[in-house]
Amino acid sequence: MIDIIVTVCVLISLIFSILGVIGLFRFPDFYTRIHAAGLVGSFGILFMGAAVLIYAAGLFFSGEGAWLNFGAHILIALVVTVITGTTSTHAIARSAYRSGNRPDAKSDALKDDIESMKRREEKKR
Amino acid sequence: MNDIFMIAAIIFVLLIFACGVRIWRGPTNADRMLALDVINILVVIIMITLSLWFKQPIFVDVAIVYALLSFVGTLYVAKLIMGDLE
Repeated sequence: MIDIIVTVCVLISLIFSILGVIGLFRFPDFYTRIHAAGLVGSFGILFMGAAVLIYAAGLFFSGEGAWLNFGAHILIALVVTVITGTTSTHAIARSAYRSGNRPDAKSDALKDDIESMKRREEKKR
Repeated sequence: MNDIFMIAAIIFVLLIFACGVRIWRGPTNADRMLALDVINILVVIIMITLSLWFKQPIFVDVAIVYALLSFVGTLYVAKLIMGDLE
């Protein structure tokens, strides 16, 4: 029973990772490719971590001593990966926009905000 | 059940090569950095898969350290793309 659930979680993680990498190739714009990359960073790693957590629960119910080792390490790894993944994606998008990479959209509402912010920064100096 | 973990690890490695193709022909530098970020996440996923395959929790430690170090590298390259490093 535990084996089946672990296998299903690994397969879900595999499917989401494959869809994310396919989206990295098929989407036309940089800002839509970020959406596809976030698929790998959220569901791919969360379901793989869930697989290890369920495996650790199976070890706990079968009475083996290694469940705390697996569970604590995978919890730390999940927290670290969720925090760093979101932060690095935001940093890449911000740097791409500020270096002049414009999105393929009809209306760019962020452009006016950036220009007013730059004007405010110059006034502060 | 070990065969499924082996097949999953092999498919993740093939996905890393696919992201390498995106790094090779990406139009802008931000696309290359995004593909490198996806490669970092896939390496972390492969390490967790190996810890399930070999039943060794020491691989998850490698995943934690790799995630933190790749985070620092990603932030540095993001500042380099933005042009703050002069």
